[in-house]
Amino acid sequence: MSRFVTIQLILLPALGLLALLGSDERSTLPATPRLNNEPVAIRPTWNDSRIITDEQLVMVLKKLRFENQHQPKINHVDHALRMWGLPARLDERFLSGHQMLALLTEDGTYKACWGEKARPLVMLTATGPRYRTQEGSASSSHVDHTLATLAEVGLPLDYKIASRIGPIEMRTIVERSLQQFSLNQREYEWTAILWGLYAADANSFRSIEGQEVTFDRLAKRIMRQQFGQGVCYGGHRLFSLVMLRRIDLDKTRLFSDETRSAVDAHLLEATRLLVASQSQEGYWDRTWPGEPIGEIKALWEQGSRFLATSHAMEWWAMAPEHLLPPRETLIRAGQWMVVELEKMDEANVRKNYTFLTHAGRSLALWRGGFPHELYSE
Amino acid sequence: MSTGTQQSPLHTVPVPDLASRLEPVLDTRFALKFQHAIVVAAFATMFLLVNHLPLSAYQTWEHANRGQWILDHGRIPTEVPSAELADGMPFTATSWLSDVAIAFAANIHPEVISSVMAIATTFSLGLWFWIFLQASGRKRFALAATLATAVYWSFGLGALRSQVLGGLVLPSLFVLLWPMIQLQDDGDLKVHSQSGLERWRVIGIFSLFVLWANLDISHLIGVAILVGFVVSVAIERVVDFAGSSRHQTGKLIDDRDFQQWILLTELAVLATFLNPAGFNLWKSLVTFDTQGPIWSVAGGSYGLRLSTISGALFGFLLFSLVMLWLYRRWTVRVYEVVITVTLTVLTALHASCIYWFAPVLMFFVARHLRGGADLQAARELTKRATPQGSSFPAESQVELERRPLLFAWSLICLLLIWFGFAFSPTANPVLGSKGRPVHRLYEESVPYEVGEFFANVPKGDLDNAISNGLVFSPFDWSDWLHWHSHSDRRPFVTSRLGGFPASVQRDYWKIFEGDQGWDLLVDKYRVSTLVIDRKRQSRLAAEIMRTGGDWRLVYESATAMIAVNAGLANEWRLPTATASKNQLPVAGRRLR
Repeated sequence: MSRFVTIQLILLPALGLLALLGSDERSTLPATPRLNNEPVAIRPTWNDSRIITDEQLVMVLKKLRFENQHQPKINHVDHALRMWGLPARLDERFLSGHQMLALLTEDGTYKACWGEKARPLVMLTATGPRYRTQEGSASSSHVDHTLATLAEVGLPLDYKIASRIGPIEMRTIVERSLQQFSLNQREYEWTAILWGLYAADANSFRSIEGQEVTFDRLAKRIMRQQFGQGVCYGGHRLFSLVMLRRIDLDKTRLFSDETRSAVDAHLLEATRLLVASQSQEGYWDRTWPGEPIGEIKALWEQGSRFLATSHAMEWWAMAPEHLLPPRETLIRAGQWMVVELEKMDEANVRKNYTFLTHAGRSLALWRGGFPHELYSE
Repeated sequence: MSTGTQQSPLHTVPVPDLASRLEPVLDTRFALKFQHAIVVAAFATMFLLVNHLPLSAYQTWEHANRGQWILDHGRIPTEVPSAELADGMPFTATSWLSDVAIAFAANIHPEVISSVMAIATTFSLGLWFWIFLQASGRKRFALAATLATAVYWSFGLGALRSQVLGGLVLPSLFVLLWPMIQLQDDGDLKVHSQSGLERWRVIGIFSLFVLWANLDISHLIGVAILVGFVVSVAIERVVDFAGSSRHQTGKLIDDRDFQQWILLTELAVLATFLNPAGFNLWKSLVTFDTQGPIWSVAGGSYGLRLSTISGALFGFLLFSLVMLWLYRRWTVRVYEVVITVTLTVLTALHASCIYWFAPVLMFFVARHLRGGADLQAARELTKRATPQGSSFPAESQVELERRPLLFAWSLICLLLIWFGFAFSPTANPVLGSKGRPVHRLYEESVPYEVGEFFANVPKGDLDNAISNGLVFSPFDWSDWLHWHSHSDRRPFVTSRLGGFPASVQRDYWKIFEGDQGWDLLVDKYRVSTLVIDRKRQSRLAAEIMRTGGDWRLVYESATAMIAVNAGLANEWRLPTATASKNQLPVAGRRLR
């Protein structure tokens, strides 16, 4: 064997070895993060009857039962399921948790309500199956809203969704959603919750844009905009952040120390602004961050107040103690919602059902449980 | 009687030999000629022209900012530095050494950037001149080809890119490879098998590739050229061995020439691993994205358009070479075809690759001009005419000694070099003259006053408001503004727009154009400051003037506007018109 051939026999395997050893793990990031089959359950930790009494809670929850109706808006079904949870079993006039789930996950039930010609709720796209979004009443209202709802009510990823094209595992839709995720998409709040609840660990993934997505970056993205910007006067951004913080605190360490501090500082600043801007009566409105922010179309004044107040009360209900306002702030806000809900007629409840569910859910959370656990006929 | 034939006693006094007293101390090889003076004049002019070019806002400062980041942090970045919207995007530092060198130069003075650019360019052209001269044996052609290369390069001048520093290495590689390239052309296998490349040349090539892999990603061009030679030797040998009784592959493996090219290529590839990214420098090539080095081989990702001047020149050069191939006077070698095709594809994809395309194709043209038939004769002639390695036909010793002013042209050459230096901006600090005024140091498109504005914002409300979010400016301004203001303000994007997520790029252009919804987008990214080029962004400028909202105009000139989002800093309020004159810095028509 010539010297040249010997050199080649040594050199070429050495180059291959070098390629293996020099492998940069960042370039081998997966396109989707590792996910658990079961989502983590994050429970409320407070029970304060000064915020809402037992009787008041029953009154509120009764008002917010979801009526069995023709062509129920998917947005309303989403919110109702999120508020009531899967185990909810209500009077016959109202939908149970499982009936709501069927509307969102079984095409037969969906068609029975919306008609044979209705476009499917779960549709197949070039990038995989997804929930039809922002295409009218028969579709989901926000990006990944329905998926986040299903995660919050504890649906496992191996759950079979009976779509029009056949059974699809929930995992397929969730993974497709994360694969298509961009840190700069307009609505990201529900995708954040979705990933957080199913995340097996804090490992990152490579987005479709080539960007490495980590929980740190996601938190940074959530905190990037001004308070008050985003859906529901920024309420969902704060709720997503609190949920990730709770997962980080109770289940899996998601954040670096630096981000954890930044998240706490951000939430504390939101608390400070809310305490400072609370009205005498106990509510907040779209001016809660100190400056008036964009008006939501066709929202009457009381609606704006419910929107801001219920979302603030909901994220606080899940927040660790060191991020909470003085108890007086919470009691005033809770009692304002109770009094106003009591006064509200059925038509107004139906009209503003989506954000009233946040009020109902938050009030239940402040009594230490979920509505289905605290409701009795 | 005396006939007058008797010699005067004066005749016995020896006449001093003045000529021998003026015998030059310098060797006659330093006696340059008119042709040398022409070449020196051409190079001095090129140096002057490049050195006098105003600097652009683009590219140089991206290197400078990255270099400064390396100097500040003492490590190589693994993400695009100072660009939070690109956090997590793949990034391989392919030019860290150039970055540091450029930052170092820029820290001394921006004029040093210009000097480095002029010196590097002139030196590269000098090396190419030597190569063209060796290949063609025609000094006029060599000079013309060098000037033509300078014309091809002129489209990218005005910015000191890592490519310019990497550009020094390619001709150096040709110089070191010269004996092997020559042997390729001679096809003299016998001679070659006995000789081989000298050890110092091999070490030199290895060192060149180590340097190249740290200076600029264009080392890929070098490797591609070596691979081109390997392919060429392999194909040509296989053809030569056709009909041989022994297996062709076996003969090829035993071929000394083939072995040498293979080993040289492997050595070059190994040398490229000696960089901070190691093997990942290569691996990042296969990670195909707009941030990947493959896109920045030429410092950009813009395809060449034939309708442009550089496109037309590209077409002309390619056409000329193909014509020479078709009506060849000399054998077309496989390496020519392989390398030409590679560089043509690269240049078509990335216009800046013309930087490599032009000199290499010019070299191929040069070797064809010499022609095969008169190759040997020309070489003989060159050997005879070039004592001490000079490629210019030399006069005989007698002719030289008879020349009345033996070193006149040498002195003129020195004078030309001196002129080239003395009239260049590089000489300003040496000769104690004033530097170029700002309007000549920078291109007209450089937003100098905007940079001054940012550099002089006093600490306080306005500074807080600007720092409270991202600074949106045209991407080709961003690195210059960042460098000039020496601040930790965060740019929306940098000059390397392709390194940002697609969503950021899309939104950047929407904001840039002032498209519908731009106001929502600036909120989405928490943009605190809008720097607007009034010429290119007239719609956004009109939007700001029309809608106002939270946007407060804090600077206005004929070319640019700066608006700050007051909504981001609740405590910051629009200063009154009277107050603004006292509160706000520098030029332009400030706050209304």
